[in-house]
Amino acid sequence: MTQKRQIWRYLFLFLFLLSCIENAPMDSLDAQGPYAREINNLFWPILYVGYTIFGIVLVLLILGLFVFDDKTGKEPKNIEGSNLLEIIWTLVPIIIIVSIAIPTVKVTRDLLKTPENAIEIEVIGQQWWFDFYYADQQISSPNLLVIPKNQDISLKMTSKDVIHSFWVPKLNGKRYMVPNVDTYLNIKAEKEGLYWSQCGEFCGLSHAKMRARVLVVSNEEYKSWLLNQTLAYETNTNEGSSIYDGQLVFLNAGCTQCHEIKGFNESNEALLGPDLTHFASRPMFAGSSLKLTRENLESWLVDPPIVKPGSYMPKLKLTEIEISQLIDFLMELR
Amino acid sequence: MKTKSKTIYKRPNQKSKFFDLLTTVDHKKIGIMYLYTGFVFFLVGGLEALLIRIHLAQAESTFLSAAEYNSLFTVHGFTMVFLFFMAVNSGFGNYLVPLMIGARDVAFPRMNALSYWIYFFGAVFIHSTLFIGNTAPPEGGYLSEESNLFSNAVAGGWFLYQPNAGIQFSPGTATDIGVIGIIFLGVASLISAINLTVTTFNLRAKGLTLMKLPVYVWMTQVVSFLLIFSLPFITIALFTVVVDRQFGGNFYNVAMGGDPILWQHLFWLFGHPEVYILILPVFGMISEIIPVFSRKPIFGYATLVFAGFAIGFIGFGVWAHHMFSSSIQSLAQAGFGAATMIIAIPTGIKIFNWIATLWFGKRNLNVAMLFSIAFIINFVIGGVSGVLHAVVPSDWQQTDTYFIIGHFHYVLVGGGLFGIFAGIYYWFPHVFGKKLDEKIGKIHFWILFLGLHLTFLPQHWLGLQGMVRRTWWYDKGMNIEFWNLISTIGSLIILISVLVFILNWIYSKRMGEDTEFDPWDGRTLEWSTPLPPPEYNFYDIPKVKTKDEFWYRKYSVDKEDRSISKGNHTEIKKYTLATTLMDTSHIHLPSNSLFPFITGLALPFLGWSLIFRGSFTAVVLLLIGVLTLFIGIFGWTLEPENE
Amino acid sequence: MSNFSTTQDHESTGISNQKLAMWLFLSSEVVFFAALISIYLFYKRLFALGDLTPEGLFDIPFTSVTSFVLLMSSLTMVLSHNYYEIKDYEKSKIWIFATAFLGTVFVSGQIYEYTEFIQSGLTISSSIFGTAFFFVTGIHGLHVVIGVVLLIATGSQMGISNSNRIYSLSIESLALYWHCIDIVWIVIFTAVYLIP
Repeated sequence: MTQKRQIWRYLFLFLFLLSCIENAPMDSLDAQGPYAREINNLFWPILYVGYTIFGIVLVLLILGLFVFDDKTGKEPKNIEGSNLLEIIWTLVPIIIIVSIAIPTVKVTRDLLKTPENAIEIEVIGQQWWFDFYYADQQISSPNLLVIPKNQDISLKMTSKDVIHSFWVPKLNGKRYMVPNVDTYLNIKAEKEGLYWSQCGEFCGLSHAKMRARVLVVSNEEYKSWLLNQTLAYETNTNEGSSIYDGQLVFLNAGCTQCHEIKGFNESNEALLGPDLTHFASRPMFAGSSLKLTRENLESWLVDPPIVKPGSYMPKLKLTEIEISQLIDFLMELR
Repeated sequence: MKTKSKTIYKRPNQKSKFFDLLTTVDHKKIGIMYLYTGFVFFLVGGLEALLIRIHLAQAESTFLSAAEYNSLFTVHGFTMVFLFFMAVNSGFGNYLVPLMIGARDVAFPRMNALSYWIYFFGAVFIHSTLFIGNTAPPEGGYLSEESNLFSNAVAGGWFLYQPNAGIQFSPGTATDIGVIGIIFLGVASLISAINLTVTTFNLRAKGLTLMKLPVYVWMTQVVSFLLIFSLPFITIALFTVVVDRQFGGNFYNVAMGGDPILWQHLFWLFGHPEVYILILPVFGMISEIIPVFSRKPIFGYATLVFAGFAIGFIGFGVWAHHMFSSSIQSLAQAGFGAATMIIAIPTGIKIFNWIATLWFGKRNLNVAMLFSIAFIINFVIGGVSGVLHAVVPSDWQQTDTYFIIGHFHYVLVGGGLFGIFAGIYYWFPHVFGKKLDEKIGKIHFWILFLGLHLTFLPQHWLGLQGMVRRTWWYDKGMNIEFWNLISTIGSLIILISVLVFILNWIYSKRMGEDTEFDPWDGRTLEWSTPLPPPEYNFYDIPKVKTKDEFWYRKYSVDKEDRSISKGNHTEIKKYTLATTLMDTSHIHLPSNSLFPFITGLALPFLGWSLIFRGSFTAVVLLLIGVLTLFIGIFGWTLEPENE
Repeated sequence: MSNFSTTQDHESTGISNQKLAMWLFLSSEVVFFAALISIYLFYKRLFALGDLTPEGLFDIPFTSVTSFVLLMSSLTMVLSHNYYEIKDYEKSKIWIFATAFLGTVFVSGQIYEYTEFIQSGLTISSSIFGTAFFFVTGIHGLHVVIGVVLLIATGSQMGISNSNRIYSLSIESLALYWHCIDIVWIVIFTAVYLIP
């Protein structure tokens, strides 16, 4: 294990634990970036306007029912209407609406512009995981989007099958990922950390388990991560070790039909499953629905469709030993 | 006008009550049938909701499987929108409109029955999926468990977004049954809309000019126009889906150039007017109830009517606000956001007019009035969250989360359901000649009020905390369990309130306070009949001189513009009740007919023949369906007009 | 309660119930066809990209002839209506059957066109052009077929005295329907066949 990989592993562990302390990991009101913050700055005042309107209506109702009801004992006056009142309660709402609409239009158009110095990262959604593709380095990072902090990121998104939606609530609103179409979403994070993301558009049986994580790191860490990701796996030649056996299981169980590991089994075609080259360097797997632990890997490998109904990964019918060897191998893929 | 019977059969007039229901063309009976059937589906939809809420009370719950959950929330939406809400609106509309305009029935009584039977058999067809099966995994995917009853229905949300609801990702007959079923229901609504429009414009009593119509009739009319112009979009859209799913079409086949967003545009061009179709009749009911229990005319009659039209009209211009997080251009986003905010204005105008009606009035806080006032409160809450959605960037955070679910349940349940209950408590005496019990009614009201807020208010928070909608599974780490549990408790409270209501219904039908005439000192024409009304509605078709015609028969106006009782209530009552014993040979009513029932019966067979396309069964079903349809249509045209 | 009368004992628009209903139904149909044609136009830019293109397949002269036939059927419909108004039921009957005949010719022309296209390889599933083309023209064609059935049904009732006739559409309502279908076809012909 090279030193770089070791540092990386511990960094992940630390950040991973950090994320567990997070109280409300999908809290959209906890803006951690300028886009989410601008949205909240628009939301809160308008919410208070809403509260005020509700309060006014409530007060008017109570007054009308209990204070200003007709107490003369005779029938009430047949007041059919009042042009003045109609004008007032048409104009005042118009003014309120216009004062809400103007900043709304402005912020909408602002937030949809792509900033000049943005780094473009591709996001490909498919049932039921996100693939983050860094075109310049030609690396694919399934489930984990790593970005440097304080840097504008333009996500160029598409889908391989149905409509998905990418959403990191603490960084920005969500945007569809449509097959055959490129959609764009800007994100920018101000603090390092691990942010939660979830698919926001129903996309099939396991829509609820289609998640991702966004890891925000310093510029140096970002560069070293990119470098690490370009490295290929060095095949273990130690016959008799469980890792070696695990490699054999991988090759024989049909995994290579859907998964690629650079340096181990390369493929020229586009494959259905995520690139596993740096599988163990990421905190989550299975569409970021499971934490990377031996236990979880075991229950996943035994029967993927139980964990993610509709999964394209079938039940593998491996023995306990084979699964254990496979896990040993997978944990080497850092 | 009598015609010689050309055929070997006469129009049915059996005394059996069951056969009468099958063959009735009486708008009142049809209205009541809609209401009962609609209420059954309210319970079905409610059960579906309860299962969802029980599942969501815990994080990482295994109460329901993913397939079951995905089907349940889909059918919950379909059931509540199409099988409950629209049916109840039809029920009230069919019952009330002819009575309110001084007519004996609608313009096309047999078509009216046909609308009901298409709805009925459409609902039967949709539910046949429970027995036919199956929700399969997408092409290439695997399931670990067999599908069962709950997952046999269409899944993926009632929007049926493509390509997820297409043949590749939702194989199996469940989605097809949903799609075809909705086409049927659309036809029923269109027929009904045309029928009520012709009725409102052509069958009004003498003197009842348009601006004297009750606000309810106007709102129903706006709804009819909305249906006439929005149903084509969903019909065409569903046809494209049938072509794609059944005949290998490429409308949403991305590989061949299809665009899934096209479906969204077509769907929402219907879908948005649809929500106004749901709520405008309720607006109308509230506009009738509040004046009666404030003993004042409705404030701003013309404004209310025109605001209704404005809402309907603008409602066609905001559909893409359901698509803000899609790939539509920034200019479109801003435009639709602004247009959506504009709808708040006529809605707000209505709210203020209702409040102004009860100011300086003499209030009667009975159950119908309680529901009406709560309607206003709840609808404003829902409306405010609606305006927040119109703030486009904010919607990028809110859309497809529980914040949206909170919004529309506030307007549809807090607004719609409360308004429906207001209508039920108000018009129950008209239909049955008895009042619903007030004490039980108040318990029903307060429990429902509590349940509503407990269930749906936390959902706004949950949405802001990132709880995505249509998700069968949420992590413990998200820390949203507490408010989900509260929401579930709220839904159980709603269940209790519904049980209380059913209790009230059963109790009051037997032991309710009898009312044979005008229990509420009503203002509009339907209260001028004996209760329950005879089949012909009015012994003498009323001649109308003013708005609130019935009120001004009982009251004149003094110098201060206050109503003064003419002291003739007993006299009017005596005469009205006496007319039930008088000779009715001058009154001609449309006769019963079995053919609407038969025509409607054909539809499930035609639908099933498409579902099982390619098999021998399908040919048999097609033949049965076509034969039944022909018998229905030809019988209809051949039967004598009136006997 | 007759559907044909516009009596004065109530407030009314002056248009008979059936005619008003037909107007409302047709306004719904107009939106229906507008949406239909919009779908076609929405995908139009993709049609030239496939193997079988509109330019390659369409036989504009042939379709112009069938369109003309349909246009003429509207003329015969007007004639039928006119004769009905002056109570010449025999002539009205002839012209209504002429309309039905012309409508059938139109549909036959369409079916012929369909068989040609299918033989060339264009089907509802072969390309998005195929799907859109058959969808638009097929739905319109179904409306023409229903119209022909209604024409024959109404025509066969003509001349039979009121007390013996079966319930059917009035000539006016039928004419409205038929003209609407014809106008829709003109739009479809323009949008599908003529506009490049």
